[in-house]
Amino acid sequence: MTLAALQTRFHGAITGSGAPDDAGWDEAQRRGLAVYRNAYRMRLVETLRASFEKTWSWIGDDSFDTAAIHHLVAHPPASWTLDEAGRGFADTLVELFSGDPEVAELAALEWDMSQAFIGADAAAASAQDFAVATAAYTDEDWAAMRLDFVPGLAVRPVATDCAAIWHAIADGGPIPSDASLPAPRAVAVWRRGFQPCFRMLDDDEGESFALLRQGATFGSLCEMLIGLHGAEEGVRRAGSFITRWITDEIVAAIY
Amino acid sequence: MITPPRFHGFGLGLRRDHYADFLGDERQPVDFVEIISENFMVEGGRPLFTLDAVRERHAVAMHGVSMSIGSAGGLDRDYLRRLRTLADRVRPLWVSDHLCWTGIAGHNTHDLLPLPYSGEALDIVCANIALAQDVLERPLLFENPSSYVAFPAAGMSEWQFLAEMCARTGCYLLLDVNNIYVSARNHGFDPIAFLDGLPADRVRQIHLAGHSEGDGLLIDTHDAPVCDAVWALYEQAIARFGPAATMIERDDAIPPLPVLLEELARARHPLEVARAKAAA
Repeated sequence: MTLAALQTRFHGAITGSGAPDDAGWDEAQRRGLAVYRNAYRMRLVETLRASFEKTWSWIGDDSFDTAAIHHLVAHPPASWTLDEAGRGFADTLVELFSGDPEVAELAALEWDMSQAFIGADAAAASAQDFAVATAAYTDEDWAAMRLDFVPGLAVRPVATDCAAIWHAIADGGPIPSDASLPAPRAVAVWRRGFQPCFRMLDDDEGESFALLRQGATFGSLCEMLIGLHGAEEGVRRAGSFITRWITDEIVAAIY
Repeated sequence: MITPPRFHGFGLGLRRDHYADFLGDERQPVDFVEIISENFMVEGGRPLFTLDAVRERHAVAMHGVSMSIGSAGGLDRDYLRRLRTLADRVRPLWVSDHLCWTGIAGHNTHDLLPLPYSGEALDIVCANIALAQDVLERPLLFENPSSYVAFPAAGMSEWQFLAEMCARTGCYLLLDVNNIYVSARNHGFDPIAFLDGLPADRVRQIHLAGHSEGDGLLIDTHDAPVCDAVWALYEQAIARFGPAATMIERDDAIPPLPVLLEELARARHPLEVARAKAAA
């Protein structure tokens, strides 16, 4: 048997979802294969438990482990890094917990936080940076202003208050009895210093983010918000979003 | 090519539980730390900040788990490039991985799987090592793994395979004494024959660790102190190979740092005895 054939058989024997194919292995080898097979599942389930600690806490050991094994069978790890085993786990939970959307949204929040934790370093623009950059702006300059956001920023639409669930689990606070939101919103995840953080976005803040992240100008943002809220309120909202983003350390550059 | 230096210090694996100890005001009494390379092959954030801060104080050895040097499907070049980037940043004593394979056909089990010690496997391993050493621009160290499955019909012993691998590629060895003990017990070979069969001048680093008893097999769990039988085998290794960079590996049930430092002190003893004998 070639090395490639042996490795294919060995891999199948320790990762398969059904009973392992025992043919061709002697008794000592079968005993050893059981060690590798057990270690494979245990290691990956423990990795997902560590990456999705709040989701694990929310749905409990049995449901979480069943979902984790389902995910690993459907999406066997392919990357050189074990941390990537959790990629797409939230999508798996959408399928498995279709009646409980907060489960997948909580997992997506945790995944985005894990990615922010190891995202590229970048200094956020301070209020002073913003003041200096815009000090000599004319009306035309304001209209043409664009923003870059810090690397690792993720903005996702959500139908449930997964942020409140995360805090309730982390802080031991009251668990929301009904996590569903009256209307869809968005949650932003980024890193301040070394610490991943997140917050639920205000009504049309998510849409505003999306517009600017596509490269739109501040003028375009104002036009969109004026269309929704009228001239005075639209401009006020655009200004308040930018002030908040600067305070949150989400803006990397103004140009 | 950057040749791994003859470095005879004593160190520990850098684990998250001890980051605060290594970043505190007091310099920890170790000659080097070993990092798991993959934990730092990231874009940024706290992991790289921590690594840079530790590197300012200590020599660092890079130890990987994902090279899959025995994979019949070849190596992941993106992985090698990222590893090279980290090595350029860290300027480590050396870069090591394991004589094993971790997956096939694009899948990764994230385990150190055993190779058959055959002529074909040796050809594949040596070709993979040549590529990796070319990308990393340095000879690499490879560690003998613990194993739970053996392929006795393959033809070579593990130590014959390691010796031939070193001769053909110019790589070096990271000798894991606990792994020799575990595999010897699991597969019924003589650990002294293993030591006697290795090229002494290729051993650059030694790992010491604990293991546990499984169902008829010893399991390399790194969750317990080094046992007396492994300490005895370590003395045999030192007698044959002389001093080498030596460290304790603990990856589970990690105790406070002072406990590991105390265990590490025991590793110095055989060398002190050897030096005293030489001086007498």
